Amino acid sequence: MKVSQLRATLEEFATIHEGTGSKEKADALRALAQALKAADKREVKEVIPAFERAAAVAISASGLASRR
Amino acid sequence: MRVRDLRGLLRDLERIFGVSGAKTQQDAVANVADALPHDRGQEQDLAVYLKKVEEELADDAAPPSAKYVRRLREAGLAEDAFLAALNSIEADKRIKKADLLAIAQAYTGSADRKASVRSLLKQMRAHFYTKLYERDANELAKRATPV
Repeated sequence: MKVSQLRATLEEFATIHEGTGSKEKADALRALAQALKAADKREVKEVIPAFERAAAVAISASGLASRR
Repeated sequence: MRVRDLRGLLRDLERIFGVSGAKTQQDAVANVADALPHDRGQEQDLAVYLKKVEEELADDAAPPSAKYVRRLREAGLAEDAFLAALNSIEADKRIKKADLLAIAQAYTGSADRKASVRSLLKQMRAHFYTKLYERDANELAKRATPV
């Protein structure tokens, strides 16, 4: 599945959440869709390492912060 | 909103796709949900985390050396961050000697084209610790009482 297709799906569900008054959920799904925009032509599987690397950066940053 | 809230939302979507038999969409959403940070990482602000994801995706599109030059510069004089960046460079199989030379040149200002991989890494370490010692020496000098 292409990232562009996943993004379209996320946008659809964001619209549904908006319709039911869950603005926060809609915003979260749109934020994810926006973060993926630069990788539109790639397969979803190919962008998974970027999520994992961002998670690793977050963990090491919080480790550094807790030691200070 | 936190990262774990997004995971919850994605798990809901995964279930919906599962029930409707949309296996491709179900797998794609599940892959993203699984890749989100766990433990302490899932408590961070979603916008901050997604910004990092965006940066990582932009780095993917750029030459591998550009990403590491950015990380080394961002580390500044933080030893842990510098060593983490250096370890990542050493572990990254995409980084060839030419890339390492470009990283060393950008980070230290100059690098010997004939230098080995090991000496390029050593040069970057030396550059970092020189800057660190300079900072400490300057701080000591500021605190010293003139005689």
